[in-house]
Amino acid sequence: MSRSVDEGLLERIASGDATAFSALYDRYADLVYGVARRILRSPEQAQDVTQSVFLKVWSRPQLFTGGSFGAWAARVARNASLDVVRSSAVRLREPEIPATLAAAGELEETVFADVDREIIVRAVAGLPEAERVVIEQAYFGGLTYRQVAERLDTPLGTVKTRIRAGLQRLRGALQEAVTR
Amino acid sequence: MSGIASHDELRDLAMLYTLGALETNLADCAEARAIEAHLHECDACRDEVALAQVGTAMIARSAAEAPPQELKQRLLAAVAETPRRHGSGSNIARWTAVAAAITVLIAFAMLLRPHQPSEGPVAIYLQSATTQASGVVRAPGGDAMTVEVEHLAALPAGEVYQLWSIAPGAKPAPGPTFTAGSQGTAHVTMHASPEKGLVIAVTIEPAGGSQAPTTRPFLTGALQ
Ligand SMILES: [Zn+2]
Repeated sequence: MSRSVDEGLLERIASGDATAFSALYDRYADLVYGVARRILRSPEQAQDVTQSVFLKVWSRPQLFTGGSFGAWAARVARNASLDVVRSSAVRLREPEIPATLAAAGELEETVFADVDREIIVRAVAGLPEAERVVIEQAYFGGLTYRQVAERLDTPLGTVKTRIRAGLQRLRGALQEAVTR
Repeated sequence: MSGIASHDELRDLAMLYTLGALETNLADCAEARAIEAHLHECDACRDEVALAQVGTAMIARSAAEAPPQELKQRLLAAVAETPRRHGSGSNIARWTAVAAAITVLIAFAMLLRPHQPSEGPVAIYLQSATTQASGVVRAPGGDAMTVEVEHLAALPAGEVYQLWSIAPGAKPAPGPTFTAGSQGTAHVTMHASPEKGLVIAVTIEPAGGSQAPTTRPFLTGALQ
């Protein structure tokens, strides 16, 4: 449902409809800005990234090639923010285009569109500390699982196990919330 | 990763890739190709990707936070001043091809088919999805190659551009470092055996260059 709403907005954006752009911004600005803010900590830099992500959508909407727009927007915001963290030289680079490994599932779309953020926040906060830390260091810290393992002085296998256990717990919490 | 990876290894890699916790440098070409190929034939690993997609979406959404009101006003003002690029069909097609091909993992850039070389000496066209830079590689003979790049940004002190050559299935071999001339151009000679599937890439590295890439390549092309 929400996917077709986004697709409709993007089609209108492609034909230069600023009202559709404004509507898309209202749907995803919190997500894009929030991801950037968690990675960058500086509100000004997070605003810059948010602006660059949305301007990119405006000037080249065809860069989004399908799947979940929320997932795409979050990933572009993450990559652009990590680029800012890693090097001032790449500051001017355009956000990276994420790969779509598989079509977006309904549950993934639900996360961005249909569920109260409170439920998501509670699910993440409810993870065992060890699982939450590895996932957040990878996602917001931009670390590879090898770097996470080194930083925490934890075996690689343990890091992978914790990531998977955490992801399973998150999905379980979501499924429980949406079927209730 | 050497040899044939097992289902368990590929399952882990697919999960880590979806979360964004996999190395994104050139060393992972083989891993990326192996994951892609395996996903086409393994339901269990596609489920693993779906699991990681949902979890990753939840992590991202958990950070959501309203930006300041004035950001939207600024953005809409910028949009009003940014004429939409109604590019030619070929331009859009090119961007779609680039968007589809250049991804977090460099492997997909290897699948990219740039414009067919129209005349002799150009062996590889280098393209960038993230900058305005572009370039051509010529292989006049032997293992000497000349690389011409344009529209490069000037780098701050302490950083240089570096060329890499990646033979099929091999790790990236370090090439020369260089900086952009005043016009944003560079002309560099490097050595690599011009075999089919050879990838040439450019990264930003600390002054003096690196033995393995430390940043994502922003300019790539493959010998067809
Ligand atoms: Zn499998």
